[in-house]
Amino acid sequence: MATRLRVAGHAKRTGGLRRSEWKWAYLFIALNLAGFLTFSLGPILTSLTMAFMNWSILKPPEFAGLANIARLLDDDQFFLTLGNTAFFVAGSVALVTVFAFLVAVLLNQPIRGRTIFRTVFFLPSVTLIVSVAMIWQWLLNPQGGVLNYLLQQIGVAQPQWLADRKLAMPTLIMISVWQNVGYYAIIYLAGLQGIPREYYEAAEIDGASSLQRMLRITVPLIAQTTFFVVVTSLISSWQVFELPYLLTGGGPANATRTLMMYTYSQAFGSFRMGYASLISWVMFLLIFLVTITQWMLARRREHTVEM
Amino acid sequence: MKTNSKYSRRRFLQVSLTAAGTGAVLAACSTAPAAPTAGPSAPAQAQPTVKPAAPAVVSGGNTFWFHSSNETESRRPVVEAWFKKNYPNTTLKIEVTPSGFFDKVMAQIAAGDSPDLIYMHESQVTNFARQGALLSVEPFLKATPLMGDAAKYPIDLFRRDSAWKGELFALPVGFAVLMLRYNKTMFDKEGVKPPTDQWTWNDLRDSAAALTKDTIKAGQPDQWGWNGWQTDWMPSSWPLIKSFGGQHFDAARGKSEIAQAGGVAALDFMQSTWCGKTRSAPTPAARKQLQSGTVQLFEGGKAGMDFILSQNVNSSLKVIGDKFETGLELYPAGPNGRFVRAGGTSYAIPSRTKNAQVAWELIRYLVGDEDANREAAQYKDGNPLIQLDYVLKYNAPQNALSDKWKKIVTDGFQKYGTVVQYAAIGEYPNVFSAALDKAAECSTSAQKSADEIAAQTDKLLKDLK
Repeated sequence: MATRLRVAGHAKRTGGLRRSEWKWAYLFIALNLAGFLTFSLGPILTSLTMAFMNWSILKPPEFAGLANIARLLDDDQFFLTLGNTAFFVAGSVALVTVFAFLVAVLLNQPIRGRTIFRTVFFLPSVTLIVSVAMIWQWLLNPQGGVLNYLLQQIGVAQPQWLADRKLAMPTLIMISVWQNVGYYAIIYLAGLQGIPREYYEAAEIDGASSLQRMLRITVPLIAQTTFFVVVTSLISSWQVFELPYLLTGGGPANATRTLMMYTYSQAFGSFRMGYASLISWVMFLLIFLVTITQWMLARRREHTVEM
Repeated sequence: MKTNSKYSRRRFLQVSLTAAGTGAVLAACSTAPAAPTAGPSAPAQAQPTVKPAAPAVVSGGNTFWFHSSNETESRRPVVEAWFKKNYPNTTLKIEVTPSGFFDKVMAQIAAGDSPDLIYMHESQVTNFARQGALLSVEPFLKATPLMGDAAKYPIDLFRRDSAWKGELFALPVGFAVLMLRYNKTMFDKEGVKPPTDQWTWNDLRDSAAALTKDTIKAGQPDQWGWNGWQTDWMPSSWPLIKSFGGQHFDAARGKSEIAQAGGVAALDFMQSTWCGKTRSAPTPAARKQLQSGTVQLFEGGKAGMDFILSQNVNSSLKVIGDKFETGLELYPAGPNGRFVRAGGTSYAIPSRTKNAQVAWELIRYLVGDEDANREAAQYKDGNPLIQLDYVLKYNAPQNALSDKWKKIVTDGFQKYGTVVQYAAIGEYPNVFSAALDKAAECSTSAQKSADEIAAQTDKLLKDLK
């Protein structure tokens, strides 16, 4: 009887909520859901259909079948910008992850003025990208810029940071790392502070060196945070647009032109909305595949540790 | 345990997703914007029906919408005064978009929420006309000719180089001549003869090479003879290409012609200013960096020569102050003659306007009436005007350079004027600019650069067909 009563009582509740409560729950999320359906899912699905059409905005869309895909496979600019973006992603994600971790480890030490250092490292990530671009443009000016002036003082040849085809993209990566490292360091810092002190104390008693403690305790236990940092920085890096747009305009000789810049140019310069939609979807699939691969690798690593 | 709830989460999600998917697909299939009601393919529909003497009626909620970039902001009081006088009961909406103007205005026209009159630039007019976004101004011109002395209005110049399929889709309201400016103090100091109106491009390069120096022993020049061309702003290099006998495209704009002899010679000349013994200008990429922010090579006294638009001479002289003496001269000549980029602010009527006739009347007033020009000139120093008389009267610097300035502008207007021909066809400016960046590395020949531009452009033009 007691069991039946309990079951009957449970029938009125789903997931811990009563039926009347569900109605309220739906009501509360309705606005958000409507916004999502209208402004996110709708355009996303529309862009998928557009990828198979030719649409120049002012004329009605025409079904193009696989013509846009054929064009993509024959488009040198697409592959050039894809390569540029991949280079930027590889460089910035790797460096941001490493430097953010190292900065977080340093900021986690009981040093005087720690709060000030944390603020200083975080500041670039909340600074407007336009301001960042202007400051770096001034610092890197090949004639009279601070950096080249200092290099000249120590007798080093003055690099054309943003005007040299080989140097421009590494320079953008450097600026991107400088801007983002503080943000990811804060995330790492939160992860580091979640590691129980006892592990370090036990390792210290066992005679583990600082390096061993970092490699055997910190790095494995912070793996989830690293996964988060890599995935989020990877997604944002694939979409890089503002920095090259403001600093180099994609030059010299398209060396810093990214996939997002090319998509924008196709959509609003050449008015090829269908083709631009296709490039966007290719970019989405690339990010999705890389993220899934990363996720599966992380899962496998976790599984191996548990075994 | 399954819930008996009528509205299960799964059910809710199924219904929501199905509805969204169906909606999105329907939206994708049905939201095709209606074809322009009076696009370039149907110029007859744009025929003005109201006589100029009788003011047209403003429709569309009794509001006239003028969307411009900040370049035309200076005409705001003129436009407001005109509306107050001619359409006192009309609400005038002036929207100014300083950055990203063309993207925004195209989206507005496409969405059917179109302005009645828009700012237009010579580099964009073909792109917009090709999409059917603008009304041809030809029927308006036939019905109601321009006010004042039409001979003083450079319409033939624009029709020759800036028309799309033989028709004009924008009418210039401001006229600017690209001229050469030079640092006379630097020329005197280095013992180099300053430019004359007989100069060729070779004279410019040789003098520039003599001025180019590494004055601080940094391993590369910090004083340049020539500030170079802004390769992503094609009007700066267009007169040079034309003076060497080159063209970007054929007359029908269906094929690249840059790889023909004249185009190659022009690119070869440009390359000679970046490479070898005649190196006299920073590379285009370096120029972009050097000109950024507060650093300006010419105004900073670090470049002997530079190009400048006629209406900017006054403001430039103010920045330079007493630092050095400035001189002005015509753009140099090439083997095919002398050409000067002449162009400037234009206005166009979007194909989806509700007030085409009123827009046309306003354009007529702005290009033809002295009051409009005078007021615009007083409102902002350096505002480019239209019709040679007004340009000379209101735009000329009031100092020792005045006579020279007037001579250059008059010659540019009457003898050497050319409107940049490329008119932003899709990716072309980027193709051209990137090839010049590579040419500036001095490891490829001008012929190869030209071939690369031509191959990519032909592919581009084929795609656009």
